[in-house]
Amino acid sequence: MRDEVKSISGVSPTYRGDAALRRSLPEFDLPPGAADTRPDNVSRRDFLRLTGFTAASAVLWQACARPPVEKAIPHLIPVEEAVLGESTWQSGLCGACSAGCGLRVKLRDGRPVMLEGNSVYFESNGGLCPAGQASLIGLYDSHRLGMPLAQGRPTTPTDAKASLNHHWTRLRASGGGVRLLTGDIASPTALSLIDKFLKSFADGRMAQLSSPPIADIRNAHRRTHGRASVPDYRFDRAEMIVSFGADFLGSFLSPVRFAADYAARRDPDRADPPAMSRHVQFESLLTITGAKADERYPLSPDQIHLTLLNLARDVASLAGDAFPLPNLPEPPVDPALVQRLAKELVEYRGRSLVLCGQSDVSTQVCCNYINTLLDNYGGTIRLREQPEAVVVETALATLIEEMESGAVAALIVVGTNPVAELPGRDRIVAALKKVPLVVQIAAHSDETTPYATYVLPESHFLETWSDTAPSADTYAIGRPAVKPWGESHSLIEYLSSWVDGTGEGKEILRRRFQSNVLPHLTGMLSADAAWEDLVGRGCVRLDQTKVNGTSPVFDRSALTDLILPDSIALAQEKAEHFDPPQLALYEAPHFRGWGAASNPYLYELPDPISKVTWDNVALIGPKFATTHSLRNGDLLAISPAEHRAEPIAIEIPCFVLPGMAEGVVAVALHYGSEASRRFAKVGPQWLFGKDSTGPDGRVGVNAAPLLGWKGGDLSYEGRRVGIRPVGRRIALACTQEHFDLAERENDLPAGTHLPEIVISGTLDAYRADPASLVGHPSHEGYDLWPDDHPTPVHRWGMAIDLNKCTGCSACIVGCNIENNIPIVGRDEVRRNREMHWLRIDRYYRSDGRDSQPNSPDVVFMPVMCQQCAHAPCETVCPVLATTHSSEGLNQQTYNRCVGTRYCANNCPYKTRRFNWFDYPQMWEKESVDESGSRQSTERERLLLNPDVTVRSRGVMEKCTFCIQRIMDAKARAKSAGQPVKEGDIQPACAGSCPARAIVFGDLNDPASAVSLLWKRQRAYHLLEELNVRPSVAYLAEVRNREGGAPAGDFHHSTGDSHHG
Amino acid sequence: MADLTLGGPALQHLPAPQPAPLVAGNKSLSDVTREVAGVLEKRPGGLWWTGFSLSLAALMVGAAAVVYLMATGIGVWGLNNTVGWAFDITNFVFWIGIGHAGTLISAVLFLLRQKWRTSVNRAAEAMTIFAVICAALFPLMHMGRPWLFFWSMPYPNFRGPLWVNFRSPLIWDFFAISTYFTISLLFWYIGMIPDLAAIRDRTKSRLRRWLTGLMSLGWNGSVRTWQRYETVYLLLAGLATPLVVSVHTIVSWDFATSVIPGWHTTIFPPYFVAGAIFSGMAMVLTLMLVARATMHLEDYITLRHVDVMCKILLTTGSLVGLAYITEFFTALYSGNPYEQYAFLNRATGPFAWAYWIMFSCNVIFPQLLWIPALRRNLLFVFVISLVVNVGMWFERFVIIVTSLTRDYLPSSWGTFVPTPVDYAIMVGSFGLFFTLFLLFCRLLPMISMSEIKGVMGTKK
Repeated sequence: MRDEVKSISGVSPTYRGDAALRRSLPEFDLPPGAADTRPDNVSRRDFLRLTGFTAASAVLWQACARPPVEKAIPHLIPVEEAVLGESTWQSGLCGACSAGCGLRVKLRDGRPVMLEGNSVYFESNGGLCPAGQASLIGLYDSHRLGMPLAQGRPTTPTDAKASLNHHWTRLRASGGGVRLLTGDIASPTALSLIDKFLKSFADGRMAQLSSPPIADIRNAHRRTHGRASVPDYRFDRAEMIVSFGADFLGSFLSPVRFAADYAARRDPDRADPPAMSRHVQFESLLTITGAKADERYPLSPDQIHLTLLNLARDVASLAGDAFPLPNLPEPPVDPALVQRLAKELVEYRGRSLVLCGQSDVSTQVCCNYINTLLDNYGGTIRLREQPEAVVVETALATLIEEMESGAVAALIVVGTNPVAELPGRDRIVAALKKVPLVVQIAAHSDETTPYATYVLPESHFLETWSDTAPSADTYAIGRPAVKPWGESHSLIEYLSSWVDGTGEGKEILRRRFQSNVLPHLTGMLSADAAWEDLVGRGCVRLDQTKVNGTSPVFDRSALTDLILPDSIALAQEKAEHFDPPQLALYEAPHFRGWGAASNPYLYELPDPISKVTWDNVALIGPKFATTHSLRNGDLLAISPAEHRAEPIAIEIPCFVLPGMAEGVVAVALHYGSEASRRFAKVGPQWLFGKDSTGPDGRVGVNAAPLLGWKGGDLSYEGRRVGIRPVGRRIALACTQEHFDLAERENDLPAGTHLPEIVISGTLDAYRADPASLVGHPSHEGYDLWPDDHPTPVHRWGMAIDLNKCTGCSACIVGCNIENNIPIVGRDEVRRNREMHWLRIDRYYRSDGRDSQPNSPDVVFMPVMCQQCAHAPCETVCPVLATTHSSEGLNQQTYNRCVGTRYCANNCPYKTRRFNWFDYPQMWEKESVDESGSRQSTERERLLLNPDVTVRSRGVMEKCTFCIQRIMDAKARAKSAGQPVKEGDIQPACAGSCPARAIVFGDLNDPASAVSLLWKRQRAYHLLEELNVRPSVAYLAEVRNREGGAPAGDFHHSTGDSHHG
Repeated sequence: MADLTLGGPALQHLPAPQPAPLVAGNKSLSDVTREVAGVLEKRPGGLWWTGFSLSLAALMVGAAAVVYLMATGIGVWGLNNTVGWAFDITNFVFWIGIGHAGTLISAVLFLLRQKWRTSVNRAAEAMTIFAVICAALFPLMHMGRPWLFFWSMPYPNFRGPLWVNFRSPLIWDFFAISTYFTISLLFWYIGMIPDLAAIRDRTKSRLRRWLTGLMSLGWNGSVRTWQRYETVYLLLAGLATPLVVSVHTIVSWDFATSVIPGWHTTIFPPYFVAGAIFSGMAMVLTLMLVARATMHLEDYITLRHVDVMCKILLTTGSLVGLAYITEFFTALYSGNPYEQYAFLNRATGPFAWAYWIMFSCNVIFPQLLWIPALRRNLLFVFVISLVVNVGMWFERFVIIVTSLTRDYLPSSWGTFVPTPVDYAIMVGSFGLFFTLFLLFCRLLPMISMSEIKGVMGTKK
């Protein structure tokens, strides 16, 4: 059928009568025994038949087609490379956060339908995070601003520009204070333009509202190394990693790059170079980074600070340095543990890495000190060259004071939402009202918009030229994939037009490339060729020798200046008392900024750790839950302890999680925005359906009121808070209810052993006897019908390395967008009806094998349809809607499905998903409700992948191994007259995995990567004992831990490891 | 057990004490005709109207819920990714089970020459037909796209090799149930022909005379007619007998052939058949006791009938209890930890309340029927019959839902919470059943006059 469809667009050569070609290629051959009914020579009769078919199909196609989409793709001038019905990929730059990952955009009929990691991009190495994947929907967001607003009313771009220029001229003359408030800015072009713009005023300054530790890392390095920049962390060189609260696989700086580099070092099968790094994590809340750690110690923020100081002292004494802070208190953990870590770190001098994720400059300074002692600067940490433009910065707190005092004449707000993101909303609003001119550059109207004099629409990153410097020696550029929506522009375009009147993104970047990048390039390319190369690939390496100047020296005075005995004593006091509890505000891996507030994919994506969707929760430990008799979903009122008299700051449901530090409550940021109100009606609207928003009409709760101030910047953790149960509870929409691997075993009579779901072991044991890990016998040979499903040409298979998987969930979002998986809303998830074809199971062990009682091992396991060779689903379908292909796939024919759900019942992996309602219509309802117009709904529909059927209600669906990509690759290979090669086919999940944990390929090819992985001794199948013969193999998890860490490591071990 | 073969050939020459007559009240043959057919000629009483309006109301509630279901999607039920079947298939198996007593009474007991069956067989067969109708609606409704239900039938089409999947137990279900329904309907109708002729000859209404005349196929009561009739009846009884075993066996394969722990059990076929007879007999008792009281059939449905049916209830209930215990033994003895957990979870997990309702209703309470006095206490028997109906509904619920909620991977364990639509459709199926049954009581002879006349004994 696929062939016929292709033939209409003239792509597939199936009916070209090219018999010789067809015979020479195995790809489209029928299995042996099946009669080949295709004509070798097209007869008159065949010709007529085909003509008739084509004509009829064309008519039907037209008749059934959705309204044409010309409004969104105004191809008045046809795009050269766009072939109707064929997809092309082009490189781009992700703008979802400031990490600046490279991506490739899949363009179908000239519109982007998929984002994936760009494998030629040096820094992100072919991965993309869930937020990056999901940011595609922002392009088709019908709520985006298309026109500038003046005093809340739409205005023309010409008028807006004219009046703004008038204001700038006035301010340049009068000398009033001009302030620019931004989020993290990754673009060097934007920074230099900001610099130029602000310097054109007598009093121009910039303030940054950064992601948690960025401001503090920058400030610490300014203090210790004289460079106010975030250095590059090189996990690919780190053999020993000690992280103090840095969630580097989830939310710290550039998690995609870190995950790729980290995973490359987590392969226990590679002996050369010794590829298993060692990773020790101290953290307050359970993060995905902590879950992957070889050793993990839950500590409160102050305990982390003290431990870090102790580690610094021990490393200093081993390194022969005079530690400048005498009389340190004992660490809150076993001093022997700190000494052991210090010894190991010194052993790995230059190849180790100590990280700190605390938003506290003194802790960061201490971390820099340890890294300096260990010679890590230059090895695993590379300081960046001083930025070419040093923008005059002011602290956030100072900015607000200036605004309050009336010293700010104009404020430009870019990429932030100060009213929602800063604590003390009333104060911020009052301060904003004192500024005569507030210009906001934003894609959506948000909480700050009502206080802005002008709102300028910001383009999506796929619509504009952008650049970034993801590391010290890389420069990257992103080119637009489509025309900007409405009258929107990028930040650099606005700035450029204000600075010198020019405003075309490409020209701005090209000019900068010529002056700042080209001199640093090696090679003989001409300027034009180098530019073309850069735009095509997306990034370019800069010559190291031309970049690096002298390396700065550590300034020891920072230690004694910033780490005062008073603060140590205070930390000591706080570290010993768990009541009132301390707050840790954090960014969830998939929710790293206010940009996510308008993204329904990210609301529906389960939190990698708690698996809660459509809400943020207050994470609490089992001990806290027992003391206060709290269950998941009980509402807690959290207020800053120092303001007990103040009204309650936030009310938020709690979630009990093992591995939380004692006395710590953690809340994820960036939820509870006004923008989330629009998602109330996402999902089926039926008699007993409920809204996707919470009691206050928003998704989740904004935790910003609980943020503190420290040294002019925001402080995210360590604040004492008053917590009391409200007495009400809400039903959380959690995709997984049972987390404990041993729950079932504990219920069974003693001595009963279940086959392992997630197999894991220690590196020592694995190296000693690789066969010991997956010790069970193979079921090869127990096959009643060995020839039942022959796979003569290809047999598609997958291997998933559990050691590499970080649980980041990028694969889930990739799968959602590639396969048109509907968003079903909070109520449906609560009813356990999420549609995700791919899920990541998170388990922990409480079976007593674990030596760290407060921190059980946490494991992630991505599970999709296992494409069983003996599929239980296939035998039970009454209408043969699910069948086995000759390439080993378990196919689902939507058209044939009558929806008995027997297949789903009989699936041991429970990977099948049923269309309980007419989910694809949900988007439509959402937008109709809000704006009342039908036209707007067509925009969101453009996200749909034209290669994948949109399923109607009453139909079963499931992972197909991205069959559309398999067929596409086969068709392309056939057109090219070549067999399908290894690497031609990449399912969406594998295509976006930052850690490269998912490998797909042909099992019939003994040399394919997947075949080799299947042969590893770590390979096993999930529920292998059922003999359903899955096509997915899992590689067991191996932790680099000595036989079992000493049990007495933990001072406050209470043994309460039994909670779910 | 000996009492089960009461009046059978083996006992006939034993000098046993003469049992109570099958029809009390010292009636003549014409009394029987007058009393049974006479009911149909009178206007129904207030009690009938009350029952009928309640049943019709329940049916309307269910019909509204079904319309909503069809218009909106299966999502209006409480099902989810983990639990793909719950009330729908529970109700299906429950009603199919109810349908079993009819065939047992009419065919098996006929072949075994159990003369007491004549008082209840007509109503039991009607019950079977109506129960199968109720049951058949659920597989239809439970489909995601019920308008394509015919794809699960092996009808000739032009789709080439794309036909039904003969490996799927759902296809076997289709054959089993359609066969069962056809045979049951035929058996019921053939058995009714002499009585329809009797009504034809009595009735004063022209419409009814014409209708019954048509349906009685020109019955003239000649010896030849009677002889042919009895041959056909015997043959049909022979044909129907294997169905008593086959239908529920095949229904049990829906579960037994799967890989789900708690479903994948070889004991299911006999266990399901015993359970079906158990529940069917309980439903016959419920209906008969109500009919006896409201339609004044005390002389036809005597304490002796009730006693015998209670003994069947006790026997099958004990069989079911044995099956429950055997299941646990099998799980333990298999050494299969998944299986062990499935059963442990049934008895102690989140649905333990359902399990213990099932166990007490089906195994513990029916044991009271060992006491002869209780077997003859009509109120007690009525309560027990209701208790067994509840217990058997829960048996299917426990098997289907608890097994699905927790199968292999703890990550996918879930739960099931029914929605009001689930309840409405279940209520509606009871409404349909009782509406049909009450209509049957008013429109067709509830007691097989021709057969009961043959067993009335001494008085001619």
